[in-house]
Amino acid sequence: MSYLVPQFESLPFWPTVSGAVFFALFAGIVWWIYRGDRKSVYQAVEKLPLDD
Amino acid sequence: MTAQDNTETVRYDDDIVRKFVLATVLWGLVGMLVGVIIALQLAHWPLNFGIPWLTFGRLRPLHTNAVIFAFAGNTIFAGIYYSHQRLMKARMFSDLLSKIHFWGWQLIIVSAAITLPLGITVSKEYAELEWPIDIAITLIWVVFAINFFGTLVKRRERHIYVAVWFYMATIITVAMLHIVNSLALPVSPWKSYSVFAGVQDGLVQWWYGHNAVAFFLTTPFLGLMYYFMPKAAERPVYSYRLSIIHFWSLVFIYIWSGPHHLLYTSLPEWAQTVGVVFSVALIAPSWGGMINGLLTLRGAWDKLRTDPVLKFFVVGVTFYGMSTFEGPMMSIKAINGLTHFTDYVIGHVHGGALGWNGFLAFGMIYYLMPKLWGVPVYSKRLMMTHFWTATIGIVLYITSMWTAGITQGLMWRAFTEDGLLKYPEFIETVVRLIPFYWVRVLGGVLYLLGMILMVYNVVQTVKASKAQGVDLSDPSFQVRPLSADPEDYHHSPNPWHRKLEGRPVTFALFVFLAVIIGGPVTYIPLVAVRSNIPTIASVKPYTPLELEGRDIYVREGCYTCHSQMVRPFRDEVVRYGEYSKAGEFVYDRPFQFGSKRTGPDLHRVGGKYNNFWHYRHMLDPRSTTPDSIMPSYSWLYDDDLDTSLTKKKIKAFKTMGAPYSEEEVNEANALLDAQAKKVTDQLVEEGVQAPPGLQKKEIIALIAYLQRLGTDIKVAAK
Repeated sequence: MSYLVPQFESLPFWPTVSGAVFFALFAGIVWWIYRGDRKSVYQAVEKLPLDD
Repeated sequence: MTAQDNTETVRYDDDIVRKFVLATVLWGLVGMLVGVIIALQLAHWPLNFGIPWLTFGRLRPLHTNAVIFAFAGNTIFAGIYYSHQRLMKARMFSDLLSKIHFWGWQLIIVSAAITLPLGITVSKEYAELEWPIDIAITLIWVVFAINFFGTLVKRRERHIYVAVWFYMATIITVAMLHIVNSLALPVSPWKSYSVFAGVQDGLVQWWYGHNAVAFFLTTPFLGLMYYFMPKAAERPVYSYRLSIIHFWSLVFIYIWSGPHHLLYTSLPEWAQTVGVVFSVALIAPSWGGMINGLLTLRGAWDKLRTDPVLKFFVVGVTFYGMSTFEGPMMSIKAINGLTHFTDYVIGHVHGGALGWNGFLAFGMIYYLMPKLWGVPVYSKRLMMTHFWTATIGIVLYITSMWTAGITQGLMWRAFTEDGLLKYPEFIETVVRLIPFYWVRVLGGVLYLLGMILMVYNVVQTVKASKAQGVDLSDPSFQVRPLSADPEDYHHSPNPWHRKLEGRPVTFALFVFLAVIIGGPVTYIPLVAVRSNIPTIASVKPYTPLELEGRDIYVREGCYTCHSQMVRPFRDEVVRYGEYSKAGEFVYDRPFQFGSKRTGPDLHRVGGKYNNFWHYRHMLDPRSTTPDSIMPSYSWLYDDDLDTSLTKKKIKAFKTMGAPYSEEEVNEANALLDAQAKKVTDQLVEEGVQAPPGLQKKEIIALIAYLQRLGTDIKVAAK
């Protein structure tokens, strides 16, 4: 099975690093936005279109 | 101070919304009618009528411009002017700017409707308009931006709702795309050449083209979805948090995806891979948006049975989901190899345009009619009929094009057991598609019929409003001033994103940063690293006559049916010849890769046939290719070639780096005449009974250009 796994040395450096950075950034944003103490804030905001 | 004391009266400008709604309906009808006409021309070529301004090549750009910038554009403006005022609790910044925006935009549309059928085009898809109109678009867009951001400044609602983020992204990104892609060197009021050439031009164009879809047909419509779906469903959006992730990931990822329009072309492999990766990733935010839209109806699905507005919205968002699944799949190289250049792409874009944009527009207009004219929509039954007629129309349209595309792609690549092309004559694949083209016509007619029903419904509603003497003066509302809504974002729970939403300038800056990265990251290395476009010593600039011939090729919209890009596939190399190299296009302004092969690729057509063949073919395509669906270009045999700009054109190319000598610039017209005489003499030798003055006719220039195509590399081989 080991032949199916790409060797570490063969991974291109910049695409790998940039991919990891993008993913970490995305995961961080998702974690931040979905933190439990935000709910009440967004509940107020989401009603704006209905308030005119 | 009581709440009653602490309010202000705001009067929304709904007159401008009414204007944009009526313009949407009018231009929608025109754009879709032209669409049906060109669909008919593909099914039955005599419907080109032998009239220059009625031929497919000239009308196709008119159709795309009309539906994108006239129909969808006016839809966007109507929706934004309505929702932005209400979300900001403020009248638009300036009534005068609103009027300038409206009338300026309509003038631009009329200019397009006049110039495109006349063959005045730069041939870049969805950016065909010549430079004076491009400047007008820029100015009107700036007017819109000032009006929009001015309203943000004077708003009475501190929070900027998610719909407005999408509008902001639209305004900022479209400005950036339009300005960069339109950079050109004019040689006359109606002729210019792109400052980019060949593969670089292709990359910039599809950075623009793909993101015209993203930031003109997607982000503003998502903004409309986030405003109008909650309104119609009478409940808030499913998840506001999801909308934040949806927004940022969508605007960041979309901008990188343009190169997927150039897979297997001469664009460097790494740039293609960037396009593929981001295109596949795009499915996540797109579906996040779709899910957020559809789940907004949670607990209200029963309304779908009776509410035509919700029907349009739900089916529109569903088509959005379908198109945004299909797009990433088509960006995978193995699939793209089969579908690109075929009718499959036409099916894909119409799933998005007719389903997503069209249905969201129809739903929004039906929702707005009672609000704007003060009476119920004339006939709910007609709305329902419109819905079903259009839905069946879309299904017929896209399924016929999907089938046609796969059929076409498979036939192109089919080999016999002996290793020969199974369908060596391109026309064999064309003939097989005609029945699908008729089904497409039927689908288009049904969709147009639905549009006609809508026009009737709108006219009757407006009439009823007038008959009842409804007061259409601007509606007024009592709202709290911004000062009465103290900044509470600095207190617990202090979410950073909510802070950001209260600061439009900072927010706009972040949006700009998100959309600015993708383009330069691919374009700058393409230009800066010479190995990306290896030069070929034998590739020379076009002669003056060939350049004039190329301009005729562009004018007639030949690129709408013929590509100039032989992909590195076995079947294409066998069918057309050596695959295309990036270095062959360095003097091509604009590039002519094309995006659809209704006819064969032409990059290696030079020298494939003699001049006589081309002479007969352009006059009567069926004389050389029985069953051809190409129109006749008889006017090329009547009209003298306009050489008044030839010298200027050569000079412009020299300015942009083409290695013409001073002598070649100064003697451009003499060189043109000499080559025209040579081509004419060859024609006479080959048996053409030359009419008087043949040497001066446009057909001579076009033949010279076609015979040059793809031949420089053959010189190198010798």
